[in-house]
Amino acid sequence: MEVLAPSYISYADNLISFLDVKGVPGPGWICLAALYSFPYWGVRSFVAQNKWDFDQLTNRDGLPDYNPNSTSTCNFVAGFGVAMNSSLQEVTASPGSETGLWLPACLNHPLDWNKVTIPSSGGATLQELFRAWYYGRGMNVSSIQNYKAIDGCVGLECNPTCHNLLNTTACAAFVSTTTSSSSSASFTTTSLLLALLRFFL
Amino acid sequence: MSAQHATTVLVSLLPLLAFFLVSSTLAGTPTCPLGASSSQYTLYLFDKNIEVPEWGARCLDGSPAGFYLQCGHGSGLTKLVIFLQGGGYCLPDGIAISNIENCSARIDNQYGTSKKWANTTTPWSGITYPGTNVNPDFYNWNLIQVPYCSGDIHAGQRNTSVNGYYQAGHLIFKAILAKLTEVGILGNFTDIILTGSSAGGSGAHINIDYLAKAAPNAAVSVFPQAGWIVPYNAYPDSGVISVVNASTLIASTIDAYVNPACAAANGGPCPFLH
Repeated sequence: MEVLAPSYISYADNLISFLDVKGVPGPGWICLAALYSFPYWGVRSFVAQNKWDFDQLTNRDGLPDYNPNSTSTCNFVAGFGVAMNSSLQEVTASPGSETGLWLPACLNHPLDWNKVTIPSSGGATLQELFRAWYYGRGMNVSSIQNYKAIDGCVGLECNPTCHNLLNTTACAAFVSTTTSSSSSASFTTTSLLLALLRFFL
Repeated sequence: MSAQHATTVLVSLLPLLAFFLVSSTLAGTPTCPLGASSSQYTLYLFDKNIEVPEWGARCLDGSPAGFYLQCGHGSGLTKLVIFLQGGGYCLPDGIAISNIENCSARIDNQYGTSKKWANTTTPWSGITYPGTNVNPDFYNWNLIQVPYCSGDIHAGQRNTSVNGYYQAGHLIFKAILAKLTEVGILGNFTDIILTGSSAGGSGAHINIDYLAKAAPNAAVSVFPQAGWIVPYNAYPDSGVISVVNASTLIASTIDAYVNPACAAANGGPCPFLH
């Protein structure tokens, strides 16, 4: 995770200069990210997220375009899926009475309310699972452990109910061979701070 | 008419009197405030002379922020969903990072000014859809949709402009709760769900602890959609700063509100954090 692209260097000066003006902040800013603030929300919570969030991949993390025949594209997308799963470990481990999770294997940004289903979790839609989690009623949720609907299929957009906005066939095979490895991404505050130290230095 | 007859008449009228008393009491229960109704989303803009300067509830261009309200009915009268709109984020002119939009791009559209907002609007999400066909469980709750005009993942606390732009998303959120308190309804809610999509999803979890403290008698839940940001490297040679690395810059620029307990557990609040 901490392998930083050389292109970061050109931005480091601007960033450090700005922070010099403001005073170098402590690490409290990381609480803007749900990954770090989650333990402190203090209320019942239900997280809904597409496994391959297309907005993060492109607009935030710089995937220039989605080329399903590009090994580097597939590699980047595959790694993101591993990172997403890893970042949600605390959510996944949280009791269902406190925290629900909806994680379809879709390459998309907005969540679909009542069309996408997760077959491996009783065929629930987001609307149905949220109702079951919130009210404890509705669909038969016995097949959904702890109100966590995590797509169990293998491969990019392997869920046939995803909107399939893009051709994912070529990447699918690649992703299916890489997402089974979870050792490449484990996120802790320490690892992030180490990455930042390397970034600033 | 004898006294006995008059008494008999009065006694016979008691059920009718009781009916009118109950009816008038029901009519006196909290009606839909702020000029809203239970049939459509209606805009409430903060007063530019009083509420905006007092609460700092401004859009990027300094125009009054606001929210759309559709009142609940039936079993949803005392329940509330708040949905925060999404739409990325931006940095003020003069602070340029290649993959972060400049706020100037928003100044003439709905994401930067309330001057572009209509007086009414349509549902923006499934959980704020006021019909049983799409939303059978929350359709009759009080529904609030918060337009995103601060470019700051609803976290900013800028009461003064930075290079000409206000980024005051958290102040807007606080102002909404203050307004609901002022019209006497926030304390009556038994159930509140704070949700949003994308930047609004992030805004939901960022502001949830503040809401829980402001409505201590309600069962408060948070439902962030597409707002879970993954720490991930930027694409090689793309020349961008990934979102997590950019967060420190964004947090400084917008004077971000973050969960106080989280900040304390991560080394204490930053100089710019409150």
